[in-house]
Amino acid sequence: MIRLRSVNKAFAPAAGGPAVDALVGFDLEVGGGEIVAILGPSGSGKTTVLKLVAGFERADAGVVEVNGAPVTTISPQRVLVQQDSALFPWLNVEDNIGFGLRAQGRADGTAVGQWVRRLGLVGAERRYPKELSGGMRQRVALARALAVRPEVLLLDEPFGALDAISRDTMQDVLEEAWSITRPSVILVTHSVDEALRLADRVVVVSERPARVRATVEVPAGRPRDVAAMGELRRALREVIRGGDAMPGEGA
Amino acid sequence: MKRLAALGWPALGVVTLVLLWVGAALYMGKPHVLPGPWAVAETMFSMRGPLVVAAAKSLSRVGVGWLAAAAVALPAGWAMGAVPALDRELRALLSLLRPIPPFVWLPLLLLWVGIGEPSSWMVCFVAALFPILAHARQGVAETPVALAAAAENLGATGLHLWARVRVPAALPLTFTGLKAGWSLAWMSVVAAELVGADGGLGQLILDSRNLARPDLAMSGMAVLGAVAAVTGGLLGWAERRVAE
Repeated sequence: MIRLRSVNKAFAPAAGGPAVDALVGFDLEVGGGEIVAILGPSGSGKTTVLKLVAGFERADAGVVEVNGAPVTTISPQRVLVQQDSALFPWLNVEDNIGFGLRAQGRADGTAVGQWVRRLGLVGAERRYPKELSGGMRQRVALARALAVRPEVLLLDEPFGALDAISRDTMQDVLEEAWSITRPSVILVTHSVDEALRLADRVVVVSERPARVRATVEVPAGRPRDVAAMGELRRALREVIRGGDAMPGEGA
Repeated sequence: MKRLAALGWPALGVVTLVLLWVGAALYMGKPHVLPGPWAVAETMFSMRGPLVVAAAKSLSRVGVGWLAAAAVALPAGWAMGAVPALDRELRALLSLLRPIPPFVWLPLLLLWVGIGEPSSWMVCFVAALFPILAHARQGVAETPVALAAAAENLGATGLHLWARVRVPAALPLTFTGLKAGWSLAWMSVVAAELVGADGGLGQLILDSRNLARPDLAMSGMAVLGAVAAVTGGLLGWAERRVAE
């Protein structure tokens, strides 16, 4: 269970001047094994939420907890996957995936092999990141994150740089990979369709400083057909545009 | 075709240079001042024994100085890149020492350790030290934040973080420093041998001037250039194998 309660976070601009609020009184709860998508404008503070949960940043005020324990440091139990994948260019696919296991003294060739198969990377084990397409790189980044079996998976627009077809495939891949270890997931995305397809709940946030404007339960089971979720999709778009029509609103 | 072009242009440059040299030598007609390439080639062949011995001596001096510099500068540079407080402490001192040309240390070194191998090693050491240190420091300091963060997020700490992320990320710039240090050490060894060392290519070139043998001096220069180019090429090969 991830819990953020009344969280404030401000950043001092590099060029000097007064601090800029990224989050003010921000609340969010994510249950065990739940996928929550955060939708909102660019620069609204969505990534800050992920960094606070990952332990890369500390809140100025409020509570950030995972399973009842305050988040104070970075931990492989809370892994962040970013849009640029951040693969180690000097390691091949296999070594990238096994990096976290080896770092924790749990080197396990069998586990790496399993993740290679699950993420559809068979045949690419010896290739280096520069030899992979954007979609393949994101598969490796996901496999690398899931191989350490984190309790929390934090996804920062992981498919934002991919073309539509690769993005569609990667959403399937993510759903399948998630179903194996079922970590709690916070997915930051700009895509309403991606949020509806993957999330159990969609949280719409305001412009900076981010505040929760609406929370929408997504009732459909998995796998989903977003094309059949027309009304929910239209309503969600309406909320994002600033209207207030919102069926199933929870906050 | 591309490979042919890549080989063709440098070859064309060499051929042009040799043709100009032949033309100048013929025009001058004074082989005791400017011998032609054929005379230099003849000297290189007849003096191949002394040339090889001199080259080996210079190479050993450069090797010792450069290896010692790498042994000191790599850990120091990596530590400076990783620890900002250490970097701040040492940077002022390094800014003061770095612009001093390595040859300027020679009079002092000759006073301290006398004429012989140690002074040559130390000149090469000083010459190679600063470029290796500066590049190693920069390589670690410029490790992409996202990579270091991803490694720590996956549980990498201490030695694992260093061995698997920070040092590999620093390798391209580290090799640039090693190559620059190697070149500077070669330039410096000749100066050291001209002033105070027994044997070596610098000494051979100096002797050839005293003997009025420009052909021998040019043979020494050609061997010097060839050895430096081949060994530098080996470093480039090692870089491609390790850093890419």
